[in-house]
Amino acid sequence: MSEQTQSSQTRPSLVKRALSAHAAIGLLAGALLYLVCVTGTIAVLHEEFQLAEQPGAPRLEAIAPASVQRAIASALASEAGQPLTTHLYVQLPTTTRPLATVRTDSQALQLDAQGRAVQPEAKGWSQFLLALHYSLNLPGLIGVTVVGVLGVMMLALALSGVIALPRIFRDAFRLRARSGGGLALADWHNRLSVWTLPFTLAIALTGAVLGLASVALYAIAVDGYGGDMEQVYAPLFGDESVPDDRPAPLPDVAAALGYMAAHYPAVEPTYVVLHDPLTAGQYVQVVGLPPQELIFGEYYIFDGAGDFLGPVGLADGEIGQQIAASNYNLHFGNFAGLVSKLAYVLLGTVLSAICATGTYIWLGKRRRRGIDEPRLCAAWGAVVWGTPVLLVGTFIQRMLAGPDAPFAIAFWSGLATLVLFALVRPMPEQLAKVLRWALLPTSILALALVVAS
Amino acid sequence: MLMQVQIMLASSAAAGGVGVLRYAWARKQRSQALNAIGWGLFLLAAVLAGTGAGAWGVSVAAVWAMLAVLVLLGQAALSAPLGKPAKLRPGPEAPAAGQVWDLGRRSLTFALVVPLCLAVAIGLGLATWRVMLLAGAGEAAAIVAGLFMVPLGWMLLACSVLMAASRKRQWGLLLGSAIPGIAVAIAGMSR
Repeated sequence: MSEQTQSSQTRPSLVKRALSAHAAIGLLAGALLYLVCVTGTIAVLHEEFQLAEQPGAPRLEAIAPASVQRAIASALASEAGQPLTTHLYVQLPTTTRPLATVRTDSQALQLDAQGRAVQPEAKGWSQFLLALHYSLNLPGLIGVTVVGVLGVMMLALALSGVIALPRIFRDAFRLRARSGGGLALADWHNRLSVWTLPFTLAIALTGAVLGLASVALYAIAVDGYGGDMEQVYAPLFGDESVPDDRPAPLPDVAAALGYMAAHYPAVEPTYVVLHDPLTAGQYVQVVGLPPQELIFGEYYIFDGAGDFLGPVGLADGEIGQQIAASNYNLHFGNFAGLVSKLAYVLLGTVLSAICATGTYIWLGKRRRRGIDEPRLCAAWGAVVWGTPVLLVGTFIQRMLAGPDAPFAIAFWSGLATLVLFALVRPMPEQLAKVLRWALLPTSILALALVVAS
Repeated sequence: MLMQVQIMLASSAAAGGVGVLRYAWARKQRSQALNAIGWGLFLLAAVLAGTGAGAWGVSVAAVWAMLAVLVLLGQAALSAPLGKPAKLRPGPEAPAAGQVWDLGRRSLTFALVVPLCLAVAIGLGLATWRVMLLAGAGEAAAIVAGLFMVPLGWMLLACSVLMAASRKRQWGLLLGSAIPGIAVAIAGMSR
């Protein structure tokens, strides 16, 4: 048998098997994957939503080192008599998040330019959104791992999808957008999938790595480090110091920030982290972002007196450290300011549409085989259109009922109700239409509430 | 300044590569020269961005290329002629009317693809970490390589298992891929 004949006989079989695998994975993970895509797309702008949630918090271009020192002293003094906080974080104002915030184990406060606490941090909805994306609101590591599994499923969908498209280059721009019979939907799905493949692979792989890190690193810890996870993290992100509970004076954070300004003027400090403050084992980390780097930041370490001990090496240390530290910004799209964020919002919307159309294509194929699934079709429409409507709805809830409203309960009970309704009263087109139309007025209302606040 | 110019050139080359390929693939006759120019512009973009600003530069150029694609796809959608409803094939993944769901077989497939493939992928991650250390790689590089191997290995295994022609072949794939992890486990027990 000639090679050509062999190829023509094996190719359809390979394509068919790839399509079957693609459909199986899509059906297994479809709804949750869509939810993670939509929430991830919106979460790209989580800093902007934090600003919208806290209109009264002072907008700062910068905060003086002395003010940071004052804020730390006040926060620790306010907890006198309580167990010492293990970590204290000061989030410094940046161009994309012009807020200064001090956080301990038990409180979070917004600061003014003098370092005075102005109001408690009130970003309940932004946190809900991030938790929904990171962990589907499931507890602890379970949710994070489930989302990591979804990242792997997205990778597998991308691979099987590429194998299932034998004319991937010839049809690269073939878009019969106004054809009927499912052709337009299939073309949109295929063309968008192919051309956004770098984005899909980047966010799926980084998401899968972040989500499965605990499982994978635990295995490495058990095999090579006696089960001690800290020893696995240390080569990547640096050691935690040896605890020494003897009392010590407040660390000189102002000196550390002064050193950064003098010796690393191009680096934008984003966080100050105090480990074991007011103990002899305390030390200070300044997290700073060097320009044009993919990493989330470099850790600059100072002792309690504010003396510089050195960087950890995330920016220019071992390649493994650089890769590990680059995972976050590549996933969240905040590596080039607002431009990359808006690009990620657009590409994330496209990816969500790819997820949504995939299941519609499968349902269409079943219909053409004579299996009409009005209940499944209605339920899928409820997920596709109900998810954004409910997210906007919970944002309205935030603006009207405050940052402590039960957003997760509202979202999940709303989605369950919509899906149940769709299954009990299957009117796929009507339900999708109602939800689609509901998206516009709810979005306008949410925007109006932001403007009014 | 030089770096910013490089990034601008790289982004332009990436977007330009998309445009050239769009033009090349829309022609009735394929042109190897145009194809080469299109792919060459991608390569040029990667080199310029990579040498100018490393991974950050490549990410920025890739984003511009994808945005250029979305513009071209939008244009293709707007200019698409109104087509007749096409009769699409049902596709192999949709069961025929009356075909049973065969839950037992599908549950076993799920067990193979999700928990078993994960377990094998973790074994591959451990083996990668060990091999990297033996090869003299730094500790951080070895850990990160092991970390990335878990989702990548799982992806490849999941696709391979789902695309395997028979159950026997699926088990063969899993058992074969499990060998590195089993070797690491045995070596660990003997330490």
